[in-house]
Amino acid sequence: MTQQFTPGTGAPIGAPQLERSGPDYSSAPILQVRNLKKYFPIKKGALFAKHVGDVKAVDDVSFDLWPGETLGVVGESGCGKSTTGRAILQLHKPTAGSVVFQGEELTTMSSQRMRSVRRDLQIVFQDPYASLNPRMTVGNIISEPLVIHKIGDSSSRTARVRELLDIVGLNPAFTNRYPHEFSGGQRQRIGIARALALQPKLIICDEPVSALDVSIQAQVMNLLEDLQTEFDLTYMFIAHDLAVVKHVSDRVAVMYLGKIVEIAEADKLYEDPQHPYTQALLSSIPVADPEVARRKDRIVLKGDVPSPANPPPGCPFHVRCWKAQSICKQTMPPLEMKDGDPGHQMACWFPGPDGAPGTITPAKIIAEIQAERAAGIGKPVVRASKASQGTGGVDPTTGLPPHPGQ
Amino acid sequence: MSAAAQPSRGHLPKSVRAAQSVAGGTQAAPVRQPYRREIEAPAIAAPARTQRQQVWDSFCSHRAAFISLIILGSMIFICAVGPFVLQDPEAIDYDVLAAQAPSGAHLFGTDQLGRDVLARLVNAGRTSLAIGFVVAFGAAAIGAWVGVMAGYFGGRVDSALMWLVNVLMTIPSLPLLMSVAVLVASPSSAIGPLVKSVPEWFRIAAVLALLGWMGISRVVRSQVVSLRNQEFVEAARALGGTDSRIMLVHILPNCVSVIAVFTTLAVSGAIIGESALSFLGLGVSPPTATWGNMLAEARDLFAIMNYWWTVWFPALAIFITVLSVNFIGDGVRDALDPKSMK
Repeated sequence: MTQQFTPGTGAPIGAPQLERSGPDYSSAPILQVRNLKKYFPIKKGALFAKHVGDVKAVDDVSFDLWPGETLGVVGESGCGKSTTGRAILQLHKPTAGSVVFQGEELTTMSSQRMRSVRRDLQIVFQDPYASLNPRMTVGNIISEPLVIHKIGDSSSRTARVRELLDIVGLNPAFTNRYPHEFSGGQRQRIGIARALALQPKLIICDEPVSALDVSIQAQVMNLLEDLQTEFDLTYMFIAHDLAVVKHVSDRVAVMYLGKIVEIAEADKLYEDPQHPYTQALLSSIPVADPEVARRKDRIVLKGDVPSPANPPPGCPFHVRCWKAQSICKQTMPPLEMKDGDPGHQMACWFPGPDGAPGTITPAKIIAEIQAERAAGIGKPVVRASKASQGTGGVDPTTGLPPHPGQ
Repeated sequence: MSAAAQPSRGHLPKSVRAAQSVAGGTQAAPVRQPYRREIEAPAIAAPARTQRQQVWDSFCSHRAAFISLIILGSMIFICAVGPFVLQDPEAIDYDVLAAQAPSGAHLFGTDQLGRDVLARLVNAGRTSLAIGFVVAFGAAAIGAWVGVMAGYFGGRVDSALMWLVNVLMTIPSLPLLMSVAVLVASPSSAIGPLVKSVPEWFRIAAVLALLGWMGISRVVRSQVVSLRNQEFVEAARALGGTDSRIMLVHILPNCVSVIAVFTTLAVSGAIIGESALSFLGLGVSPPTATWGNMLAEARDLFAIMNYWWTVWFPALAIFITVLSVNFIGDGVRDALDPKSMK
C-alpha cells in the first residue's frame, strides 16, 4: 500500500484541507511601488573618490501588490529582481521613488519606525547556506526576531520556536542543533520559520528555491503555498525559473535591465505574451514532450544584456529586438495596457504576437497535435504528452510511459 | 485591476508527483506521515544539552587543550600560592653569595647573587603571567573593536582607522615601545604623574597592549568585510536588528577563531616583549623578578655555560606557558566552532 496524497498540497489525504482565499483585488493594495530607482555609484580614486557613473540596477519600477496575492518576478541574472526586493525592504536605500506599504511611506521613514514595520515585511533568502548564522543554534536563529522586537519571555519564545518548527515541517526537538547539521531544504525551512516568526503580512521570497534540488524545490514551494493559505500571506516571488513562477504566481512581472517590461496575470502572460522579450524568455522553457519540443521554435536572442552602467537609450531591449524601429532607439515606451485590458501591461512600442515563434505556446502545439490526430494526420504513437497529462499511463516503477510493444 | 481568475492549482509539476511517489513508494510500512512533515530519518533523540555544555564537552574532547588547561591552571595556582610558602625572592643567601647548583637547600639553585631561583621563578610568574594575559586580552579587545568597526561601517570610518593602523605599524616597534615606556615611567613627563599610582607591571602591560593591537585589527577587519555582505547579516537587518546587535551577535562570534589564535600568540609575545623591555632597562625594574628579566640577567655566555639552572628554569616556564596557552587557544577555537562539535 502506498501513501495517498492530495494533489496540489502534498498533504496526505485526510489532512484538513484549507481553501486558499486568493488575492483580494477589491481592497487597497498592501504594497505600492512607484518609480523605484536604485543606482549603485561607480567611484574612482581612493581617498577623494570621484563619482564617475551609476549602475542602474533598478530603474523606474512601479507596481502594486494586493493582499493575498503572489506576484512572480522573473528575468535573467542581473536584471534587478533581487535589488528591487531589497530596495522595497530598505536593505538597499532606494535612490528615488516611493514604496508605500500598508499606507505608509517607507523610503522617508525613520529607522526607529522602520524597525517596527519590519514585523510585517519579511524576506526569505536564496542561499540557505549563507542566510543562517553558522554559529547560532536553530532555536536562537528562529527566536531572534522575537528577541529583537522584545516579544514574550524566554519560555514563551521557546514554545513559539517549537511551534514554528512544526509549522514548517521540522522536528521541534531540533532547537539545539546548528545549521550545518541540516540539508539545504531543511535549512530553507528554517529560514522560512524565521521569516514567519513575527507573523508578517508580506514576504519577499528572493529566489527561495533556486539553490535547492528539484524534488526539494517542490516540497518548499508546497510549503510556501500552504503557509500562504494558512496565514493569509502576500508574496513577492522572485525567481528565474519560469515553471516555478507560473506554478505559484497570480500575476507575473517580467524584468529586463532594471525595468518591468511586461506584467500580467500568470496564465495570460504565459499564453499570450506581448513583449518581444517575454516571448523570447518563454520560448526558452524546455518542454518535456519531444513532439511538442520538435515543433516548438526557440527565439535565440543575439548579443548580450547591455551593461546596466551604460544602458542603451530608448527601450533597453532594442539592441536585441527583431522588431526594433527608430522610435525604440529614442524613447522608452511607457508601461501601459494595450487593447483595453488593465490587467495586462507592457512597455513596448510594437507589442503583440505578430506570428513570432515564441507566441506559439506548448498548449497551442498540443491542441494542434490533438486536432491533427482527430483528423487522422500524423503518426499514431504513444505520446509522452499523454503521460504528462496524468499519472494514468505511467509505469509506477520507472516513471516512464509503457513501451508501445508491451 | 479586475479580479483575477484564480489560477488552477490542481496540476502539479512532474517533479512534485515524482517526489510524492518516492515518498510513498520507499516506505516499507504504511506509516501515516503527519501533515507537512518532511521525509526525514527518524529523529535520533539528541540529549537536550545547552550550548554551554556542548562547548565545554567539545573543549574537553580536545585532549591537548584539556591537559594544557590543567598545566596552566596549576602554574597559576603555584604562582598565586607559592610566594606565601617559599622564601623571600629578594633574600640573598650569604652562605652562598654566588650561583650554586640545585641542592637540598635551594631546589632550583641560586643565581649569581645567591638568591633562590625557585622563589624568584614563582614570584616572577605572577608578574609575567599577569602581563601576558592583560596584554593579550587588551590587545585583542582593542584590535577586535577597531577591526569590527572598520569592516562593518566601511567608507570613511574604515579609511581613517586603517590609516591609523598603517601609521602605527610602520613605526619600528622597539623605539616606539621605548619612547612610550619612558613617557609613562618618568615622573617629569606629561602623563608620568597621572599613572604614578598604577603598579609598574600594569603600566608596562598597558603600553604593550596599546601598541600591539594593529595586527589583529587588520585580520578581523578583513574577516568582517566578507561577513558583512553575507545573507545572514542582511537577514538580521531585515528583522530589525540594530547595528550594535548585528556586530555583537552575528559578526563578532564569526571572527572568534582568528581572535583566539591571535590572543594565544599575544600571550607569549607579551611575556617576551616585557623581557626585551627589561633587558633595555625599561621593563619591570629590579629587584622585582619577571621571567623576562631573570633570563636577561642570566644572558651571558658564561652563565649559559656554567649556571644552566639560572637560564633553563625561567626559559622552561615561558616555554610551558606559551605552549599550553596555544593549545588552549586551539581548543577554544574548535570548541566554539559548531562544525567540530560532537
